[in-house]
Amino acid sequence: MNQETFDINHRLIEKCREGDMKAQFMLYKNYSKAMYNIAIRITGNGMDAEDILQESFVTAFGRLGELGSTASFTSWLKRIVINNSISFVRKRRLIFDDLTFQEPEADDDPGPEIDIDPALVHEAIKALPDGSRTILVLYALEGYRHREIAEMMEISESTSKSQYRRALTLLRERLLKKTVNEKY
Amino acid sequence: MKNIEKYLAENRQQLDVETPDDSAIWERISDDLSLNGPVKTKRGSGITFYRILKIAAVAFIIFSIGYITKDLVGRKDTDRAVTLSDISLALGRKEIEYRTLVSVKTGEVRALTTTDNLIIKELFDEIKRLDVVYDQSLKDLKELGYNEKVINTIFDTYEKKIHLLELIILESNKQVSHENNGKITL
Repeated sequence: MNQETFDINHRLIEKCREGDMKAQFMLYKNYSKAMYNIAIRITGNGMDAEDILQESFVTAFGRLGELGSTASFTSWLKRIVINNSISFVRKRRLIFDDLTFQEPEADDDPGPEIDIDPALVHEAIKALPDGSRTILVLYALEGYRHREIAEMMEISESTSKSQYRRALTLLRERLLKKTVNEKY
Repeated sequence: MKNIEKYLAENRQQLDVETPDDSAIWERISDDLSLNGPVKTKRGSGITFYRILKIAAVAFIIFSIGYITKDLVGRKDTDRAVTLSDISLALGRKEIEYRTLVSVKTGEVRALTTTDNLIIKELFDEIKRLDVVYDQSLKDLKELGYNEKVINTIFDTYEKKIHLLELIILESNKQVSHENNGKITL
C-alpha cells in the first residue's frame, strides 16, 4: 500500500468511525472484491459469500473502535471475513476427504511450469471438496500456518497438512485435465 | 506440486476474478446498519454512555427472547442446538422482529379475547397447528443445518401467526362492539 492509498484509507476509516455512511460505502467498495473472492473460495458458493460479505462488513463497521491502527485494517477485515467463512462452512458440517488417502512421496519433480488462466485456477479451487479447499486457501493463499489452521478449524495439525497435500494433488490433476482439454 | 504452490503464491492477486453484486450487498449492509442505528465508533476503552446503552440493549434483547419464548410463544425449544441467529445474524435479527411482533399481538389478544366465540376458537386451533409446523421446522433446522426451504417455512409460520392474531383481535373487537351496542340500546 503506497502512502497516498494509506492516507485515503486512514481518512475513510476515521470518517467511518464517526458513522459517515458515504465513507462506509467507499471503504466497502475498496475491499468488497478482494473479500468476496476470499469468501467464495472458502465456501465455494456465491450466495454464501455474499451473506458473509454482508455480515463481515456490518461487524467491521460496528467494531472499528477496537481497531488499533488504521494501517492494519486490511488484515483485520480479512480475519473477520475468514472467521465468518470458516464458521459458515463448519455449520455446514465440514467433511474431510478420506484420510486413508495416500500422501504422495516427497515430490522432487516440480512438474511442468504452469501457464494457466487464473480464472481457471480460481474455479478449480472452488470445485475442491469443502475441507481440503478451506485449508488450501488458508495456507497457500492467505498465509496461515498449519498450527493456526488447526486451531481455527478445530482439527489436528497433521489433518491440516494431509488435507493440504490432498488439495494440491486434486488441484494439479484437475488443472492438468483442463489444460489438456483446452489444447485438444 | 511445487509449481502449483509457486503459481498460487505469485498469482495471488490475479486469482480475485469474481465481482460481487455490490449494489445488492451494500443495500443489505446499509439496512443492517440503519437497523442498529448509526454506527459511531470512537477509540478508547472507557465505559461510555453509548457502551452502556449497547449493553442494556443486548440485555434487553436476551431478556425479551427468553420471555417471549418461555411465556408468550410457549414453545418447547430447550433442546435447540441450531437457531436462525447461528446461521446468520440477518436471519437472527429478522426472527427477533417477528417474535417481537408476535409477542405484541399476543399481549393484545390476551387483553381482549373471550373464548366463547366459535370463530376465535377456530383461529386459536389454527395457531396451535402452526406451532406444530414451527416446532417441526426447528427440528429440521437442527438436523439439516442451513436449508432455505426450512427457513422460509419458519418465517411463513410467523407471518401466518401474526395474521391469525390480527384476525382474533378483529373478531374480539367486533364482539365487544356488538355487546356494547346491545347495552346502549337498553
